Amino acid sequence: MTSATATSEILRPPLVEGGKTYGQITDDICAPMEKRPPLGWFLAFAVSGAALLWGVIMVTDLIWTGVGTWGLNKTVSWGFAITNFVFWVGIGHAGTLISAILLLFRQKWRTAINRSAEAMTIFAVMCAGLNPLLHMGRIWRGLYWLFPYYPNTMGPLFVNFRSPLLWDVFAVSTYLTISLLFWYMGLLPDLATAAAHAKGAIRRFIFRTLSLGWSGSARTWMQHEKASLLLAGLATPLVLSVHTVVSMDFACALVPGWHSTIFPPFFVTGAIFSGFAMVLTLLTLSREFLGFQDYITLKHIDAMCKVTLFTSMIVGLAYATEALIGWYSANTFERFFFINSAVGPYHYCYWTMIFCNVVTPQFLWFKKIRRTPAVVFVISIFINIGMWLERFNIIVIGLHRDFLTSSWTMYKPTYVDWGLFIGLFGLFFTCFLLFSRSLPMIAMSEIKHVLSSEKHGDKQHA
Amino acid sequence: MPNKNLVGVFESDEKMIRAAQKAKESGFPALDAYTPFPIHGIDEILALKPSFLPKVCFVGGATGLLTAFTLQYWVHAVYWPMNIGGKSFTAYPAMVPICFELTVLFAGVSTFFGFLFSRGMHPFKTSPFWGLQTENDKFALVFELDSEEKADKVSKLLNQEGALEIREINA
Repeated sequence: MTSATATSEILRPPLVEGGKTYGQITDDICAPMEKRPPLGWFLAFAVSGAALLWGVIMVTDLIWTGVGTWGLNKTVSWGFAITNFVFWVGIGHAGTLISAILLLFRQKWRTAINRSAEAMTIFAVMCAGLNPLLHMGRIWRGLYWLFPYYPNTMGPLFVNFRSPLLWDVFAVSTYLTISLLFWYMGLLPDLATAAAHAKGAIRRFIFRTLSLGWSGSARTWMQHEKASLLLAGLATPLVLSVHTVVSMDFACALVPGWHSTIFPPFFVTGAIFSGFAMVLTLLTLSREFLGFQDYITLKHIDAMCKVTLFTSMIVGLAYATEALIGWYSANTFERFFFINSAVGPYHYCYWTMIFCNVVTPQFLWFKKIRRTPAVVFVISIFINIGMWLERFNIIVIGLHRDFLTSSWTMYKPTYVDWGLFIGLFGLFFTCFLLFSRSLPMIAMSEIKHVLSSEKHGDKQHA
Repeated sequence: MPNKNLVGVFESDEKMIRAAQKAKESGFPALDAYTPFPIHGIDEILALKPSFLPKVCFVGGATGLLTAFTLQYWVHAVYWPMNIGGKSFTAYPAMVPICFELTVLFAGVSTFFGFLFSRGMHPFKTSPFWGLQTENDKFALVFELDSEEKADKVSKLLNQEGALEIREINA
């Protein structure tokens, strides 16, 4: 055992730095919830709150007037809303990947980041779900149009189970539900810890109630671990299915540039790529401003950068494949789609996307860059922009010059389109900022578990 | 009539595990352990029964699959069959995504509520062992007190193993 400990110390630097005790972990992670937020937090909250408010005003205008306020037209019938939808669902994927897939792979480094990544998933899926709802126009009739109900009062207009759009309804709502349950499951022990640590009676009562009477007994832990493992096992194929189904919204259509068999894996990797970029954006900021440097270490940033780099290369390969198939298919329309992307009126969107998604991540080959959070933050912003543009390119460039030359047109987003775009970022960051001050942002029980197994050098705990 | 329990509080997981092991060897096995994180191996010492949640998960998933299939089949083939280009009313491949999603949904929801049910958890519940800081950094070993003799022996053992505190708690 001693030699094993020595070897593991050489091979693996500790995941928790600063020689913490269990009590200190509780103190550190509960601190942001119990102290007054710093000025920076209020500033960030003001900015994101203002963005959210602007979004609410614009969406009110949209619902009041109708989707005519958007820049959509007969040719380009999908615009910002669907771009936002695909972008935000994609963001969510990294959270599930970190919490579920890395749990199954027994990657211990996930423990510091899984809670915030899961929260990110939930907020991102909330943002995503709003878009198709708003796109329906008469949102108050949404329930009739989205879910099957009985007795059906719309005659033959039962929901169409053969449509990928309806598969999406089921995929996204299942994804949101399972992500919420998985997140809450992990929160239960930490809510009890927060209650035990809380000073005030009201705060203690709230956390006790939310923890559903968590006792931390060996029996509870045993069932909890089993349930978490089962949920992880369910979430893993689920997360792959969600973006697969989203990609089928496009792949099942006959539009050139959409009708492609590589879409499911291409979308899933793109989702993981953009999601990791967003996790990096959020965590490089929050480790700095919440003082979590000992928990979200440079090793974590490094590991996430590697996943980002890897997925970036798969996404780059997919772009190259699309170009190749455009030529190799010998199909006029397929070839035109690629030429129109590269040199057509939206060529600047296409080349910005290539620059952001394929070129900038190449800096992550250097360890020094992977371990400099400020640079990683900048790269992650580039990737966020690039991945949003990727969806924009697929949708708008795919549609705006279709089979019939007489219907060719341009898509110009209006201020209402931009309002929704800004509002969704406002919603996402407002939720995340509130989360960072109201719930334990790092899974305390899991960090303590990792610390205990590091102390013992015990293989069994791995 | 609440059970009388003797609780030994430890400062580390190693000490608690050793005490649990010793207690088992001397013929007075502990009833339960309360810890801030899962302790692997304690389930063998405490002789816990394996979880029934995988079964709950399976039954939930099977119900979801059946629901999704029946729903789609009934809508498209029984309740309101629509002839679209002469295609089959029962196009099975198109049913796969929703069958999958509802399988996962039902399995996940039943696992979550199965877990809460298995531990009798609800918002108004309070654990009788609350206040020992086992949610924070302490490790408690709980023994059922059924005889005077056991009480003496167990508290002696807990003292020997370095318990910070020994308490009687009725649960």
